[in-house]
Amino acid sequence: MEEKKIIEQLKERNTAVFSQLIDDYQQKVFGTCISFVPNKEDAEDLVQEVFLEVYNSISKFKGNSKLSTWIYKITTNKCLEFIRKKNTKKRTGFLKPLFGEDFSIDKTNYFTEFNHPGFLLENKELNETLFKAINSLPESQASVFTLHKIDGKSYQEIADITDKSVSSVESLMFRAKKNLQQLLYGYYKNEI
Amino acid sequence: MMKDTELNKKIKATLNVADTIQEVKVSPFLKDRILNNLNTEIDESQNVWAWFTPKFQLATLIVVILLNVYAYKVLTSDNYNTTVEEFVDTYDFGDETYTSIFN
Repeated sequence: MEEKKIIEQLKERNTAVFSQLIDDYQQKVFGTCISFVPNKEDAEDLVQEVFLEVYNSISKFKGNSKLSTWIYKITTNKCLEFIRKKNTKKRTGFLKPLFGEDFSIDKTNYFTEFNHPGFLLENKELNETLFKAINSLPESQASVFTLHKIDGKSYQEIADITDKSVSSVESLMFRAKKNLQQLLYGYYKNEI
Repeated sequence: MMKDTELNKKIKATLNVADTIQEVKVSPFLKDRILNNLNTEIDESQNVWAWFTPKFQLATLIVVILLNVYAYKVLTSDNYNTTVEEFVDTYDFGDETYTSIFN
């Protein structure tokens, strides 16, 4: 079915079309969710929230972008919202802005319990360290790095999702890598 | 403490470890869960007005009509006009008693 027709049918609350939409996108949406939140249960809960939001907000979709981009935009926002909420619960949030950004890997207070079936056993520790380091980055850098390196999206796709130009996505990616190197250097240097 | 070469190796390995993450298949029941949640949400939104049955709707309509009829009768009754006239007399709002310094 043509995308315009799908959107029209969704606006008319056609459950069969919505069911088809879930079939088409659930794996991709789940892939993005588990890239941001490395816990299978949390990621599945987020997928549910994404599709409910799609169903409830389709009337607001003006068709300025592709339907897939709009769905990924909702997915990214839901994931970032989830991480933000969990992080503020874990950290003593009111002290952080007073003393500036804490630029070190938080070894103990990661926002969720690691449960990522895609981690190879021999790389489990390295993966966990990488995810913790990503969580210490500023949000814009963390989201661009996650979408590109973990979820495997192209710079153009990320630019569309984040409403940024390709060059600013590239620049964010460059800074993210540089900051991650610094963070990991500090982390491993103190390791015995 | 690690040496710098060792450190750099480890940093590189950590940054490249993302390439080894394998795809995780979504749970086969996730779609059913989403559709169930959706149906519950629709039911809940419908349940908000579930108590407002046709009998209640008819009763409400009758009450509203009766109130309107009563209000109309009160407004058009002579009693209302007399009350207004009395009010005008009491406060000298009538044309006859109006005086101005310019006349």
